[in-house]
Amino acid sequence: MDESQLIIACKKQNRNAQKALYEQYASKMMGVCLRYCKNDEAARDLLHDGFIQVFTQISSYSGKGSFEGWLRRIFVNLVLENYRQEKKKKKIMEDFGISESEIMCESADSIFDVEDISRERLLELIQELPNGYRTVFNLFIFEDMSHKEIATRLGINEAASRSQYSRAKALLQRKVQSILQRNKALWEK
Amino acid sequence: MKEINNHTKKQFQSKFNDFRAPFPEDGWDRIEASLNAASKTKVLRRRWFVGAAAAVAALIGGGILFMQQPALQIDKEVTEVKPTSTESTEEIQTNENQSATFAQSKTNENVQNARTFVKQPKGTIQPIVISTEKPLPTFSENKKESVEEIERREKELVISEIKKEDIKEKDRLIREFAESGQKNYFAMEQESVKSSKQNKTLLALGGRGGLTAFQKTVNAPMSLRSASLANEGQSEKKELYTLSGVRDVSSNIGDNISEMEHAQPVSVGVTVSKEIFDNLYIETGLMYTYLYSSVKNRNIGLENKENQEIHYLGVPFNVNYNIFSFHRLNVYAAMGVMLEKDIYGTRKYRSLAVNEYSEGVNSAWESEEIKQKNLQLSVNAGLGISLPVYKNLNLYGKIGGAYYFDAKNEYKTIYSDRKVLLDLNVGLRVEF
Repeated sequence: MDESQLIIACKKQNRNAQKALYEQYASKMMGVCLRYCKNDEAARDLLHDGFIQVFTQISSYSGKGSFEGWLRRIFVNLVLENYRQEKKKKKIMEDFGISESEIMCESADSIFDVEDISRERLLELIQELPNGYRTVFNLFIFEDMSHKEIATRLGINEAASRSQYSRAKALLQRKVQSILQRNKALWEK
Repeated sequence: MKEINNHTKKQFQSKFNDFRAPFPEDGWDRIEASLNAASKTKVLRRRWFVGAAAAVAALIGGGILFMQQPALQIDKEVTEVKPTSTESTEEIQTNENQSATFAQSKTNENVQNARTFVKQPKGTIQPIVISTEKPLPTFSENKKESVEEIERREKELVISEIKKEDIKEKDRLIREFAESGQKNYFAMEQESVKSSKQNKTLLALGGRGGLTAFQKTVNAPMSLRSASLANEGQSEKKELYTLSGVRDVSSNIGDNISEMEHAQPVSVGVTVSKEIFDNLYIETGLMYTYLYSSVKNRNIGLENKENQEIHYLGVPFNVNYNIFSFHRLNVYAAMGVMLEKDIYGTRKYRSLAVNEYSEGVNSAWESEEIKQKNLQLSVNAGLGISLPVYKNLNLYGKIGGAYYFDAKNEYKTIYSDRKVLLDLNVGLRVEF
């Protein structure tokens, strides 16, 4: 059964087709979820909720554009919805673990090189970011959204989006450099 | 700056472009369970709406058919006053005959009186007319009238007197009849006016449906039996029917997924309302309610399901007050209490065990009859509207809510898990 036939069967709530579609895209979507969540457990919950939304709203998929892209938008929208709800409950606390001065020491205009660091390690560093920073960073880097769009979707102003991205990037850069220096020192030993 | 950002984007995107992460093994099972639960709720809601629509249509149709039967003309009943004119006519006839007989006898008597002779001196006997009580026709001394003519005249006189009396009698009777008819009419008028001012009675047939269901998904095992009221000394985990060879559920509590669902309650009932003051009614009746609940516990190696149906019968006591009327629409407020008791209940359960040593072991559904020990008390309030549809038949709808007190019963229902329920009442009312 090809993808279009699977989608048609899923629209008819065919459980076998839904299972096949899940198994086809679950690993990729899990990768997306891991980037947006701070740990594996939260990522599994997001994966579950995301696919529930997919199978519930699949009738709205018109066939235009790639299905994978449509899937990612469902998941991203869910992330944004969760962010807004947590913000309402005031659960999002910006964790300024490092001082502003330390962040500002890093040059925001410097080139960020991640060639020498593994994907898994980079993912861990992204997960360690505070919630707000991580969300803005993902939306800007991976979803190609402008700061204006991000601000609208998150209910913040554009300046806040820019500053959160800059801080996220600076934090990551600092941590990556620290890891690379440590690895270099170990290598030299 | 833009170039730096673009460079950073490209770096990260290339790093995570084809990133695939391992997904949980039971991920699909959890999704499937959630989808099944969601579709079941939709079916329940759809069934409730269809059932409610069918009930309302049946009530309206039945009410219209009922009202098309010959109406009871209670307040327009005309009391038939028996006409006495025929009787009086007969009486007059009889009287006339009697009078004629009497007249005849009287005439004869008069004639006899008239024949009384007075003794005359020797040689001559001359009849002398002696005057009687009734004036007799004067006779010419010179004319010798026959007895028959006298009788005839007297008879005519008497008959004419009788006729006069009869006419008077007739007039009197007719007058009396007319007066009595008017009296009766006015009496009926007063009666109907009085009856309209009498307190109204309403008979209603209606249905009620809850507007909210209850769903809960947790990691801890759940049962429809209240843990605190389960058999003493036994923990709730023993309610989960484990089979030999299967790992104990509680040892993997983190992997357990439990879903509990209480469907919206559905009720039908009959009520009677009586007006006690202007626009204030007290109401009571009988209400039947159907409650359905289910629980599914799923863990690695075990899945068990419970379904529960309980049928309640309740007696409501309400006070309704007509707030205002707009054209033909009445708006009223209602509040009251209801006492309910379960009349019948069943609980079905089964376990499905899957372990590494077997493909899957299905057990059949087992069922048992259940009983709630205590009465269920609730208080309710609402706002309703009533619209006449045909003569004394009114359609009503009321939206409101009820609070259910903790009855400390053994089996969980929507009453115990969701204290406040919003509901919608619709039905038909007949005014008497």
